[in-house]
Amino acid sequence: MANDLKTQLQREAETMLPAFDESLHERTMARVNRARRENLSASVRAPSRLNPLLAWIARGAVAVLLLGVGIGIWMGSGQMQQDRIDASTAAEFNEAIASLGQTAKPLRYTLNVPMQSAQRQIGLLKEDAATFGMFVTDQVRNLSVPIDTSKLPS
Amino acid sequence: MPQLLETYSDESLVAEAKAGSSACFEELVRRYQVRLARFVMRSVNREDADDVVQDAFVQAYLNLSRFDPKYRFKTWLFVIAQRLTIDRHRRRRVTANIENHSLASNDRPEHRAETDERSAMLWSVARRELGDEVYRAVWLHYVEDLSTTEIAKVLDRSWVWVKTALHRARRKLSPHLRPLVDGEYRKSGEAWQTT
Repeated sequence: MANDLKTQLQREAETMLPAFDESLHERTMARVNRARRENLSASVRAPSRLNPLLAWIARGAVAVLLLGVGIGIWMGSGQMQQDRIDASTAAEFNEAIASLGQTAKPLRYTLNVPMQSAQRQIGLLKEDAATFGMFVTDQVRNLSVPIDTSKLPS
Repeated sequence: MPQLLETYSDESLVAEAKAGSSACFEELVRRYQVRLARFVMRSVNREDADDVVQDAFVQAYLNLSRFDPKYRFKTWLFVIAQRLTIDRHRRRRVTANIENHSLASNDRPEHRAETDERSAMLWSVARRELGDEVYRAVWLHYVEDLSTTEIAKVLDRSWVWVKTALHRARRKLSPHLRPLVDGEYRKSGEAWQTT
């Protein structure tokens, strides 16, 4: 019975199949060929198409790199936060500068100025002192941030 | 060369087409164009069916590198065609809603299918008594010789659903079988009665 059904369905289906449409075939092939040409020109524009594994490795590397940069920035900002001068150091610096009587370059340190920046400015101060022949005062000599005063006139 | 290509298996043609042979892909188009058109014409009008057939072959060509040889090329092609047909249906519905456009009755797929099936009584019964999806499952099974697993893939249904659908279809169609006379079925109308 199952075989009869199969045979009859198949025989009837043969009568239902449309004739081969040459025009449809030509149109289909024209579209396929156009797609192939477009595909070829696209592949010329982008010759190095990574295989999926390489693409995933590349994506992973970029992700790790971005993560590293993020961690670096975060840690760096933390470091900078730690390296800022506190209120008492700022006051100490300001007092030392005032003691030099420098007016040409009034330096004022405020809370949270980065330590590195303060040290650079102290360095400039030393150079200025040497240039202008300023005397080193006790306040400068006794700064809690060590500075080399050997070149300064005493 | 074309005579030679006719003897190639689908697998060989696909492999050659993957390597860049357009002649081999053309042979695949020649081989499946009619079958695909018949499958698609069941659901959309003639114009759309032509478009879907063309789109299916273009999609197949562009995605040949992704074709998994563990499946049959035919199954893969029918999967593509089925999805494009559904897509076309959706767009057609939207357009119809917007433009309030109705197809001419002669161009309606149901009408055309009825015309086609006048000479194919069992399919006519199938069309009348089975739902569209079950009809497709029966077509893919008996005409395209696809396995239940392959049909499940094409219709995006479970293997169990296909099995059940085919079983029910057989039960509904069996009473309408024409008797065999000398190894041939009688011509329609001769001993043919449908309810």
